[in-house]
Amino acid sequence: MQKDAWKVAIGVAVFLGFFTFPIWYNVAFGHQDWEQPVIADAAGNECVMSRAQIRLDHMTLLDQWRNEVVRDELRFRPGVEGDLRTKSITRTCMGCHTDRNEFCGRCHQFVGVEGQVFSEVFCWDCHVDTVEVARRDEP
Amino acid sequence: MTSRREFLKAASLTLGGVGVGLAGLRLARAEEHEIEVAASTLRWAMVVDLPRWIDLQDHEQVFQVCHRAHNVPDFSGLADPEERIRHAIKWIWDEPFANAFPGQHHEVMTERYREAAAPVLCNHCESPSCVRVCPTQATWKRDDGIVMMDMHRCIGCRYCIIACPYGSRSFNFRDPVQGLDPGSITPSYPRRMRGVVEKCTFCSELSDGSGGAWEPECVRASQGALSFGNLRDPRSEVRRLLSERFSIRRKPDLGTNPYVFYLI
Repeated sequence: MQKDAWKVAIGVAVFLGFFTFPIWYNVAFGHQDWEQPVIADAAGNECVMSRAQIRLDHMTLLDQWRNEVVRDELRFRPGVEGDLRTKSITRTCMGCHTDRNEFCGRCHQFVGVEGQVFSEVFCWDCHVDTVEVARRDEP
Repeated sequence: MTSRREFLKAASLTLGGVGVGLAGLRLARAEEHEIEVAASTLRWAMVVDLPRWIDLQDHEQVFQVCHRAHNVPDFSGLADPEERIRHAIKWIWDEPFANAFPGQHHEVMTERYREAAAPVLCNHCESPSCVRVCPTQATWKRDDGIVMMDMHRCIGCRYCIIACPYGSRSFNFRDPVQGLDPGSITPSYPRRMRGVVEKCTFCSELSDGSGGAWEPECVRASQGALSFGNLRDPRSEVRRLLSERFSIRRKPDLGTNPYVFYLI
């Protein structure tokens, strides 16, 4: 047995304290009862992917679309029913997912990529939110 | 035991062999590339009928149509005239003949041309210097000749602005949203962020991807003074115009090979 094992023990305890900080911090400040955000169903039917797939892969899909449309001129893709769909946020997605705060913002805020300390999602700096435009045009 | 002399001989032969091999590979690849270019049946180009443009009453309206369709910010309302110039974002605009065609201008030329203004825009060059300098490939030349911008990739270094000899590129020093009238934004076309470079894209968003020609906004608004089409198609309108009338291009001696042609 090492003579100053107690020093090592203190070190390990401090390390574990820091390492588990996120857990006991949330317990101590009552953040443990989080609820997964419930997103309302969109208006239309399944469009470019099945419901389960789009929930899982929409970020990859959007990233692919961005490169394919802008760089490779591939503006269309077959939908679930085999018909051609335009790869466009504003012209296709937002036809049914009309409100970006509901369909993008709720989840993004929950996982902390949008609207907290800094924003990692800057789609809307350039792409025009049609609902926002419509709302603004109302008298 | 290998002598020093033998070792050096063997080493230099090996290096030389590898070098020749690599050069051969490179050549083979260059040949492949040439075949690819020749096989492309699309080359978009614009033809400006200068006499008709000079006779056209309202030039500003043509530029407005373009700028509104692409959400180009308007900073003409800034108080400081110097700021107005520095922050201006332009996709297509009028340039005095002497500035558009520096080598072609002289004191006693016909008044019609001496006083004229020529519409200028991105020339969609065959050898675009902007593309060569872009460190992120945010601007690149498509197979159909259009020099495109990818706003997602632009880091705002402005090398392309320095490289372009036509001044076709504008930088968003300010948040472009400040220069947009919220009532007249075109929702189907994106805006830009502060810190990116923008320019004309020959309205590539109007293409249906089939290889057929489209009518860019300026062409549609120009009452026939501007034409757009496929230069590789011998029956296209642009080919007909260029074969029937004499044409000039902007600063052709710089070797960028511009694809906006001006009929005289």
